[in-house]
Amino acid sequence: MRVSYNWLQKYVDLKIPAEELARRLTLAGLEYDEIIPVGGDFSGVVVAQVLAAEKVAKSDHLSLCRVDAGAVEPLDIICGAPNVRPGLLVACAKVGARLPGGLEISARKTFGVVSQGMLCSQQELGISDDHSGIWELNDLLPAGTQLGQDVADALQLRDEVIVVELTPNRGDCLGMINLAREAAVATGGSICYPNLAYEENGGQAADLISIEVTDAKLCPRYAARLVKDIKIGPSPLWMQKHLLAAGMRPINNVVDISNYVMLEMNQPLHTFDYAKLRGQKIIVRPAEPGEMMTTLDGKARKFLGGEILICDGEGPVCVGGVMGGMESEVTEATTEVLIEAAAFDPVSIRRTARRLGIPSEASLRFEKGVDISNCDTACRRAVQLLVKYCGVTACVGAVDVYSEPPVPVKVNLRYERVNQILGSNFEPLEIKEVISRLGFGQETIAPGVLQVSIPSYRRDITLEVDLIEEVARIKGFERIPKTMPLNATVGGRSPQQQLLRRFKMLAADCGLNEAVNYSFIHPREADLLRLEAGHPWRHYLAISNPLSEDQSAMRQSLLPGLLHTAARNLARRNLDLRFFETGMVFLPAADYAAQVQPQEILTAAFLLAGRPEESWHGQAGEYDYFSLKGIVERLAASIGAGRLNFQACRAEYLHPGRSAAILLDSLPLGVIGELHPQVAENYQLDGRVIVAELALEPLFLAALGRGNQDHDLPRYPASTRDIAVIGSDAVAECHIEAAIRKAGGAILRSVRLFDLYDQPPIPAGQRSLAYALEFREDSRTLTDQEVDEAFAAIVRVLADKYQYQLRQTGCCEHPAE
Amino acid sequence: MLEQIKQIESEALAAIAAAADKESLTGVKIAYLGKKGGLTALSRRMGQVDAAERPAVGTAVNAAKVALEQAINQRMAAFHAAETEAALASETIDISLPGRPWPAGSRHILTQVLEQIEDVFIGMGYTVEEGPQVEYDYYNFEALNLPADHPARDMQDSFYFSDKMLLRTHTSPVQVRTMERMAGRLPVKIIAPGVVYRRDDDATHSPMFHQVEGLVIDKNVTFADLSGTLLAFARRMFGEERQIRLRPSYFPFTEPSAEVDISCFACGGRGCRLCKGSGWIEILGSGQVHPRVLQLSGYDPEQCSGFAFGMGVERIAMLKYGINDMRLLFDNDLRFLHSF
Ligand SMILES: [Zn+2]
Repeated sequence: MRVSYNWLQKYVDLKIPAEELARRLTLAGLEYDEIIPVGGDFSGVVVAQVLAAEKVAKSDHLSLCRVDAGAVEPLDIICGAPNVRPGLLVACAKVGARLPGGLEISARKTFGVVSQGMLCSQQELGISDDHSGIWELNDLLPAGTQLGQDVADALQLRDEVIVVELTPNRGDCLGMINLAREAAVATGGSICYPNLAYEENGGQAADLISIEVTDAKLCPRYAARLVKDIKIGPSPLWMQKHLLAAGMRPINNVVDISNYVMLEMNQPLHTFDYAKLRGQKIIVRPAEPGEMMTTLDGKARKFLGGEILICDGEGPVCVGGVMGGMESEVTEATTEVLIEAAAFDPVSIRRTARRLGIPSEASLRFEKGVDISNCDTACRRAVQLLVKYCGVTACVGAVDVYSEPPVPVKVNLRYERVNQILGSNFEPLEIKEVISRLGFGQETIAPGVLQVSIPSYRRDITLEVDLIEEVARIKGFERIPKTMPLNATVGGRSPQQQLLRRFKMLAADCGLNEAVNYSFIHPREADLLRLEAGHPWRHYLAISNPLSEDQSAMRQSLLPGLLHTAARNLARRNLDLRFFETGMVFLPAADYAAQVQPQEILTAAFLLAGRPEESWHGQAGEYDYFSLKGIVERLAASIGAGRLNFQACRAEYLHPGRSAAILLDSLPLGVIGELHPQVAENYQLDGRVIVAELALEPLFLAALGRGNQDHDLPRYPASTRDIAVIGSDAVAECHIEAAIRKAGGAILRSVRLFDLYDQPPIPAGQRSLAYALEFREDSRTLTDQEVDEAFAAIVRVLADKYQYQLRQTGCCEHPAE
Repeated sequence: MLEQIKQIESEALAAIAAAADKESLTGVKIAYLGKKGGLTALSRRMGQVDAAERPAVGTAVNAAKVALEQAINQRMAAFHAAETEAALASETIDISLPGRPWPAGSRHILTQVLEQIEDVFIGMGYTVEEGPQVEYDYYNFEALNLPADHPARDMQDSFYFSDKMLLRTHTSPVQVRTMERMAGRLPVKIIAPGVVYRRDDDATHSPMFHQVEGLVIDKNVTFADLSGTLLAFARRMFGEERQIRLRPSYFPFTEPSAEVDISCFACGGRGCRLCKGSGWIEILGSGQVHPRVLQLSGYDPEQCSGFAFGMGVERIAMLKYGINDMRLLFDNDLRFLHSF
């Protein structure tokens, strides 16, 4: 809302500058955004009088003028305007003057004469688009204006606009008078309302027009007045200045007055050319489905049914509250005007304006809800202005269809409750004083209880707590003390929240960088990942009104986000890529119809790619599957979830020979592997890209379920043995290790692979695995015999089950003890 | 005899002092203290000494032995020390070379700021609650006093899946779900951090962002308590010298409602570019829980009251760390991620 300081001054004697007013309004809940100086954006332009004007001989339109600009000697000025003539008071830009847009006036020689300035049109001074001639000031200047006086000062063209950000509940302040009420409260001034008196000489309006409203819910009030003998022309300068300051372009007297009253009273008006209303009647009714009408922007509009239509005796002439029709528009030829001031159903207006895509100052006000008791007042204000400034003849009375005037709202306010909610110490007298400053009626109906009458323009106040807010904001929030709640509670994160926090810290400690990507992705990501037609990720939750297609599908995997992150970094020459991300993925409900919440699964994803930075210590190797596997294993172990299992698996987007399912016991958590080279290419990544993705909740539950463990140091010594075995490399290492653990029994406490060898002399297709084994018993020292027996059992099982044979002593690089 | 002892001792001491290295010192040791050494030979001739002088001579020989051994040991230790010194000197490295790189990871600045905010409120006794991001219209709007066609719904343009389900526009649904779960029990004292979505995308808005909301309901929880709580928060987060200013505002779910400004930490309130000359910076919205919201979730507004507040984590992070472009927060450029 653009609030003109000069305009506001008409209703309240402000006494303080715009900046201070803006600050006080802000502290009363009407926050200002900025203060913009407007009008008179020029200098060196003075009031002057044309003394003589003669045609220049060699030109068809130029005149040489003698102009008195208040100096001793008159100025010679060449002027091309058709309306220049002796006696005219004009705006004269003298040599050195600066016009809007930065143009500087200098002395110029034309047709042998030096022109000592320029006579200005309205357009040249930024007043309006009128460039048909120079601006005639004779009727505009106040008495006592001197020649040579600054034009902007003489015409009071300069103003300041306070741009106020209104909250949705204060739609009433879209009207200058309502805003002036706030300004009056904020400055301690009183408000002065416009005088609405005028004479009615034009016959009974009710004889000239009949109005029928078929649906009082859509249109609870429809008031109209008639004026005759209109001459369309410009509106008064002061009104044009106010409209311009408010951000509306002046058009003509009828349109300007209608806009002015809307801005002043927060009541949109509509004007019809009365002569064009067929059957001398107005019918307000819902549209029929498929009904058509041409709006005044020239577009044919088709209705769904139910929109509010204003019709004459034969058909629709206006989309109520939204836009007028072509046929009944006021034109230059109009002499009689019907002025409408109505209240429409806000929801209906909102839907219609949205659907037709034509929001306007008027529809905005109807959406917020106008003051229904104010309709005819606004109508009278328009007629009064037309009578005063356009000399029209007003018809007698109004035609006002007002089926059910609202019951005045009364709200009880308990003094004690005010302080109870606010934590303040306001006295009853202070509270009463606030209510009267706001101009609300009040009556004490019981000890400590005030009954407050809410004026019809404050539709936002319906509850006691609304009044409490009024007390707080008018007294000032700074008058309320700052205390702390007295309730003592134990705060904290839940065990799972603590684990997630720890997980992220550990991941960062492993050298990974946390990324945060949007939860919505492009549906095409499924193609980039080479997912097959029936893949569950192709069945996603779709946003029905996305900002763009690449933000339209709720992700089922964090990988697309991380892959784009990696590609973006690579393109910017960030080459050492180590990322992780945690977040929700969204699995649509089984028989999904966008009606049931999806499952939201807390997930972590990892990515390693590119190469570690070189350093003088020597080049680190490229990242590989095992780099990431090591990180994932360490994270699981560090949060206390225990050991993960890895099983070879196929995923379309992973390298078929270098990918694994991650399992916790037998529960699948996710996958890890090298990205399929085709997928890497799809994301413009080169080199090996290692990714992993797993569900976190089962991991956290496992960590929380493990309970207390024995933390005593072992009391009896362990026996260690190394074992080296050789067999087929087709057997997954994890099976060998599992077999060792099982055969070793309870006394085998630790198994660690410390060597893998598959080069000659090992035959092709075979490999040698060497493990360090640790045997221990908690209650006693183990005998050599016990350990030997366990060792023999391990050797036997490996031979029987996997055809892995013990390697001969001596051929192992790490000799057994 | 005594004189001979004295002479040998002084000869030996001179030889010890003159020894240039371990080997020659060992030679000196053998020459005087060895089986055939000078002092040893002398003690063998003890029999020739008068019985009356014998004790004195014996004592002198022993004293000389001790003195020589001590001198030799000292000299030997000095040789050892010099040798070690030389060996270490040969191992000298250029200590100014860079250390072996240890890969540095990082937590996202949003994670860090979120945690800072949470920790302030945890310190004041709040628990941390979470809820779904894909929400029902009821929890996101209706239960918060925002029925269908309420004009204030425009304040939060939403992403929809259907007329009934959407991406939550704030974490307030978590407040509603918590109140439902608490079923009228008091006190409720929670913060709800999380991801939220609004249909907005420009330099200062992101379609996805993070919020922390707070809710306290108990007997006699006042607007003054809200002010005090937020003052404590502002000081913990932005420095102990901060002031706060509450301005009347409007949210459908609170009444009275307040926007909260903190005194500018860049200029201390005198006015600068960061605070656009006003000396104040807006950081959050808040208010007393609207009685209708309490009623909708099963609390009697005559029996209890409460306050709620909500802030954008991105905004706090940008203010606190001087980040000028919100898009950087979701761009994940390693140079940015590493700068915190
Ligand atoms: Zn500042």
